[in-house]
Amino acid sequence: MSTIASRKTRSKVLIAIIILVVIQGNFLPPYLPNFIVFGWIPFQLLNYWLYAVELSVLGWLLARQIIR
Amino acid sequence: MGRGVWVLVGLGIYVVGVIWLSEVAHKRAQATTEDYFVAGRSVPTLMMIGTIALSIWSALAFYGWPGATYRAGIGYLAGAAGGCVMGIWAVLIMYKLWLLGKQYGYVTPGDFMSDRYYSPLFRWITSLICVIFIVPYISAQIIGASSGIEVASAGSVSFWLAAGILSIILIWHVLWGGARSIAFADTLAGFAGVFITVTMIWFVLSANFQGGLQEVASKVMSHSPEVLSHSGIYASGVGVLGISVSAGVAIIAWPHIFVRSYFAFSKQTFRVMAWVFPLLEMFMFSCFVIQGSYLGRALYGPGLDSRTSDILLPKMVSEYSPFLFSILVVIGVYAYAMSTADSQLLVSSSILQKDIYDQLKPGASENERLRFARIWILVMMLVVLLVVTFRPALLVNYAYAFSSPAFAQLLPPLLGGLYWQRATKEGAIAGTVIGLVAVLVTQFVRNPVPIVHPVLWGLLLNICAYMLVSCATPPPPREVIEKIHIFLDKKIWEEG
Repeated sequence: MSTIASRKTRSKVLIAIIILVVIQGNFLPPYLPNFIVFGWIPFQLLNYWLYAVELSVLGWLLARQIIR
Repeated sequence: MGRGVWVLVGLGIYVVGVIWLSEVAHKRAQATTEDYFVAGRSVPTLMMIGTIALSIWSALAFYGWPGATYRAGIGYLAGAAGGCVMGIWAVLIMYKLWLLGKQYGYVTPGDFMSDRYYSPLFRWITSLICVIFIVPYISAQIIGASSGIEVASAGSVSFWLAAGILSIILIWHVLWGGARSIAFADTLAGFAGVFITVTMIWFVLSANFQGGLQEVASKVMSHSPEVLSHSGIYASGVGVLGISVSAGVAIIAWPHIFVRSYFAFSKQTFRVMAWVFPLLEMFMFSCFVIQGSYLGRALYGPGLDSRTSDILLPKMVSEYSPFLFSILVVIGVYAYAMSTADSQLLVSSSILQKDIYDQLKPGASENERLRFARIWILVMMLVVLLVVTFRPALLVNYAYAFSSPAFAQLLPPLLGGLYWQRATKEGAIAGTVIGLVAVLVTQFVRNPVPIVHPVLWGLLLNICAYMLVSCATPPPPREVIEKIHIFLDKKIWEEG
């Protein structure tokens, strides 16, 4: 029973973090600085790539809790 | 041989591959509607990812996105950022729908909605939204593919010849092989499309810019710096959110994506999707940004008008790379168009058969039901071709403006139906209808704050009405809670 409760708690915490990351990728981009990285990548574009990696890691962690 | 003949030969090779896959699928098929519509719930993980990705990455993506990012810049990538959420939806929504689908034999979105909201009326509303708004989307696939083939062959293959070939193969492929054939072909198209896109970028870049992407970026910055930042409507968070929800977050509510939840053979699929999908989605759409915002702007400057920029990809390939790439682009655009249109045709037919025909004629045999479904595929295709005759410019906007915001109105009842026990049928009906009206009014009549996308108006009013009406009406019957929520809790937390 305690395992179920801790799985549920971890899932809720992960979902809260996911919401923050979704805001990072779906609302904040225009307000980020836009310096050029490596001579060709604007930071606002790099932010989308970082966002995708973060979402991928969080998705993997969430799936571990919910899909057994 | 002329240019057009080579394009047709290239296309022919791909079509033969698709026909072969349809034949393989047909041999494995059983004569049941469940096998025809959801591939007998037996699609393995790699094919599931392929068919979901390619049902999202349509001709609008392969052909329309380079043009759209040429015009709008990197801000347009917000649509893909929204699409990355599909990885999370795989865990939170698709896995639950899969469990329910296996248990209760669901095939259409209406199957879940009518059970959860204990309402045949809501099944009808769901089905009508799915069928009516899918027509422009399928039409956009045909228009995208046919225009691309016409341009890439320098007019040797006419728009209508290309549309005719696509339509005939599409009908045959769907009628003969059903969902299994579609999943096979989508996976093939996925590999083909990624390969073509990456090699095309590599070639155009290495042949025209010795300094690589740094040279391209500095050239773009010299005359069009706005495309390498969030500009225009995407200079505000609300503008970004609009495209992200319409083209990304809400895609789980698109009928042909929704029903893919029922296709999977095992739950492993959803675990893999959770981490693979965000990376895959962002990689592919970033390639389109490289094509449009970088290469397109560096090669043509800011001067292309809307109609010309809509054909940016075939134009760029035919002018800046060997003819072989034109053939590959034709194959790519054809593959992507077909991979989405076939899924959409099949799901609209399944909805008409399961949600309307079965309700009106409950005692029909399997053969009668399959025959009805196949006839409807032909009828839908005729309606689609009628819409194709308009051939609107701004290809991507056409489908995103009309279809996606309407499908998105099914997202609140979908999420609420899985996670909120207090949600009622009255709330779902009120929310969906009000949301849909809000979308249509703000899209076609008057938008009081133009920067707010119609999909956001629709969802805002939808969610408010859904929650208020649900709280003001009697709670759902106990048997509904047991059938959906208690069943899922038991499966996920106790048995899982």
